[in-house]
Amino acid sequence: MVPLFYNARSLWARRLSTGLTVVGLGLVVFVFSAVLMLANGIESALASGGDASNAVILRKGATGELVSGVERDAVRILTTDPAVASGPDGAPLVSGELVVLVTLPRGGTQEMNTTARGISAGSFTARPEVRLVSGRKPRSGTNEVALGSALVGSSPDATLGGELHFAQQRWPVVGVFEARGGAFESELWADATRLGAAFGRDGFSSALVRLRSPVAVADFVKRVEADPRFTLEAKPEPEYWADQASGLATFIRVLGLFVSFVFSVGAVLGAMITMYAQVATRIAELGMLRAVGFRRRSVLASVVAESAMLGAAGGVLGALGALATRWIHIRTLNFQTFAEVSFGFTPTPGIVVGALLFGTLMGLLGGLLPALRAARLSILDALRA
Amino acid sequence: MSLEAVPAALPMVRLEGVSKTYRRGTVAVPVLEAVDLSIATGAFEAFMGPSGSGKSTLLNLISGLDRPSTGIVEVAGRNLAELDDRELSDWRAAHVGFIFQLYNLIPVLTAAENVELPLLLTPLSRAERRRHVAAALDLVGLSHRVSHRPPQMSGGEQQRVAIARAIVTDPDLIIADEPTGDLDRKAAEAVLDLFGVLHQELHKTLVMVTHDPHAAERAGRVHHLEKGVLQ
Amino acid sequence: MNYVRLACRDLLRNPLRLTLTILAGAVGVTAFIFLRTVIDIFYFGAEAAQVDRLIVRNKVSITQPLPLSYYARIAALPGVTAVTHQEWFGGTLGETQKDFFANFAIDPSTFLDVFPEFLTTPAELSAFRSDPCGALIGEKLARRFGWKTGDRVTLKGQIYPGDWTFNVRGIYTGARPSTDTTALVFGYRCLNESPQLPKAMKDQVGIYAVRVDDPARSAQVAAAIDAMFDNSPYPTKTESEKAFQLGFVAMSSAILTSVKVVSTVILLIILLVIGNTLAMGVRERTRDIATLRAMGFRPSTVVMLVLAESSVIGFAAAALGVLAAPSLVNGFARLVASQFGQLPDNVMRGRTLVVSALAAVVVSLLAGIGPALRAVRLPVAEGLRKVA
Repeated sequence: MVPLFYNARSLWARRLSTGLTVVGLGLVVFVFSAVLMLANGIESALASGGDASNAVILRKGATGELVSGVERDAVRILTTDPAVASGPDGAPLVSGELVVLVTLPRGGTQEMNTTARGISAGSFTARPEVRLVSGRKPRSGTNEVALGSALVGSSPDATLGGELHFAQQRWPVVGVFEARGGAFESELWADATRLGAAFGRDGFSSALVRLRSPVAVADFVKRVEADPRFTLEAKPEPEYWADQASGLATFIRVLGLFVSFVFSVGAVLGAMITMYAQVATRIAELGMLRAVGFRRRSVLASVVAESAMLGAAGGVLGALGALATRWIHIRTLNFQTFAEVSFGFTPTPGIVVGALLFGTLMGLLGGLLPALRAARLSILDALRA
Repeated sequence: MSLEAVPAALPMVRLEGVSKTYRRGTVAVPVLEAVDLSIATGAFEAFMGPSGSGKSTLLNLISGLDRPSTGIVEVAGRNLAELDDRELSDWRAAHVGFIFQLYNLIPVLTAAENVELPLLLTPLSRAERRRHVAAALDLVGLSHRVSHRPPQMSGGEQQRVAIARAIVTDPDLIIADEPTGDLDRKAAEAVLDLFGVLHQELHKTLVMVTHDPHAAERAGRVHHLEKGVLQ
Repeated sequence: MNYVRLACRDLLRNPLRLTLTILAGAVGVTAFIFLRTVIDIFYFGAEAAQVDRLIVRNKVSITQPLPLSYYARIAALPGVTAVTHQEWFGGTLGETQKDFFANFAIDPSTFLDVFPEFLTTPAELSAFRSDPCGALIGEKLARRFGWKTGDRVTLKGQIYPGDWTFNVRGIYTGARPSTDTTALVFGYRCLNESPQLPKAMKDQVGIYAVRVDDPARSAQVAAAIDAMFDNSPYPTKTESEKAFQLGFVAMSSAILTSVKVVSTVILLIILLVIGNTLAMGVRERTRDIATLRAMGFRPSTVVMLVLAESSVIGFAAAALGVLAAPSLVNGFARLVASQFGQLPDNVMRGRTLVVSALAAVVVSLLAGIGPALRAVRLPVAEGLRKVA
């Protein structure tokens, strides 16, 4: 085996070409990992809005709360289910919720669609991940709202102490809550009855049911399905939120991976150009290596290893660049729900390792043909060059 | 741009108090010191000296490729210090022909195309250019090699193509840097014979740097350089 | 012999490298066209928008309905020549979003007055109008599922509970290339008079589309409509069709920005690959370039020579990329059709192709600048001494 420092030195000797190639590979890896982090960010933003002990009740066939409807009677019936957990006050944790879309000004002439959630007594209790960070919860029977932390500042009046205007009413902001980065952080919460009155809606969009334990969820889902008193269905809350994310996440993932693939072809060609040049300028050296007894296989391995080094360096560069995007937050329309969601680039160890492997793989592929050329050289021709 | 333009009484090359110092890091390295020199129009002069004696630097100064640290370089009555880089390029194109040790032909161009290169800098039409190229290649005896590329030719042939390229614009001054340094005896003689033709029949001024005593013999005068000082 | 020929000869010194560079550039150009086309797709709705059309929606949000009773009041306003209403139905073929396509409930008697770009035969139109649950489908949608006139299509309601069956009464085509022919529209009566419809949803529509006689006065008409309903329980927001569509685009602006960033990244990659090739070429030719300069070629001429090389690469890559892009984009569209819905046939804009090709040439020229300056920065005397 030809020592690797030999390759490292010769890459260093042609720093400019090496640098350009590494940056090129790095950009591809950057796009690749940033896209995966983004898709992951969307999924974790939306999917983390779910507790394993909760079930979401929707009208049968409805894909989201926005298009669903649940009658008040049905919510009352659900409270009688034996598996339903009770709150500190002993009341069953079944919360009818109303979900509507409101358009808030975004500053200038732009607007944003925001999910407004009408909540009932159990809504906060049943979601331990939702935590007030300032102010207080909206009082029932008033127009007070609590803002998800991602909404703060996104609209001119969306701050603690501010007052929102929609549906021809005023909605003072009395609290701000966090939800471990979940989708609730892009919502505003108000009393379900007041919100219903403002939007002319009787009844709820959905109901959130907290069960005594996560294992009780599956049976509860079946019971709801089979109950002849209503045409509703129950979904475990985490599953419901994962479904909400799937469209947008898949869109980003499919688009991003497709683009990364096309990019990688270009970058592999770039690596190939550099490696061919490396081989061409070192023909005499390679001939010398063969002459002193290194086998064809060793020369081949040496060139491939050198190219893999290029790729790995690109991988490191790209992954580092992608990690730097963690501090960027993005708001966009989830076309599945028509509401905007806020999310970030969320790295996982898997994505980082994948990025490094992807970079190295591109390097390997780019080095293969030049390595074959190097290995095929006849010793005499090479020495003569 | 021919002989008539320069009164015969004037020297083709005049150097006055020329010295050249290179900076290597913080150290100043003197390469040429206080060189005074005059080369008559139509002369064929050679410079000899060991490696590092400053021959090539002197040649670069005379041909306007480099500028002196101090002193005056005058070629064909023109003080080169008056020209900026761009004017110097144009001046070289009009007045100087170059011949190098390693021929410096463009490997991807044919012999004819190589010779034609400097003509691209003149207002000549394509047909005129072709005529000039044919004449130059004929002069060096390579009319049969017009469409060959340098890698297909021997060293001697390549150097003759380079000579054709150097004279095709009819320059006043021809600069040759070790023109026979890479050639065998026979090819070297052929090249030197051509120099004789340039000198005697075409009345060109030739300035040559060489290691080769045989080459130096052909020159009308031989200067010796030692550690940057003209002996 | 001329400069371009000289540049080409220099490029052909290493045909393999030239080929790889052009291929890499072409791949980049193709990817760039692809991404720009993705951006174009977001703007399709706005592109199809007509200046003489206004969209009236509930001021609270797009998902809040408006009462059917507004129809007559809007139609009576001066300046309004036609009004129609539509309702996003959001039905799917199966339980999931798979095989997604757009479907609306429309008013058969007024729809074509406002949207004349939807073309059908008079026979199909009257059949559609006389069947309460008749539907018209776009020709692209018809091709996608192999549906024809007379077929029955059952959709699962997501907003409207239950299964809904429509009779295909005709297949519409688009008068303009931007017309969406991937949708299904059906008569509003089928929805509004159905016993399946929850009582609260009766006599409600999604939006009104209004045609005005004079586009110059559309802002006034919009203001008049909003003023008329300002103090009702359902205040409206009226804007031009284009503004309405751009509102959706604006809400996806983060995604669009990402796509734009990525398309800039691809230009950077092209720049690096071409720059690398040129830098190598210049380095290998250090002595040749010094020779040219000794002979009297001006630095600017040498720079032009290197830039000529880079633009040859740029043009070749652009040409190849533009040729390859349509099949890539169409392949991708087919790949994702079942997930995200169909794209119109002619998604590739001529303008996008031209812009992309220009971008490639500009980028290749930029890539040449560094190596070109490097070529002339070296003192001639030093370059002559370099043995290649």
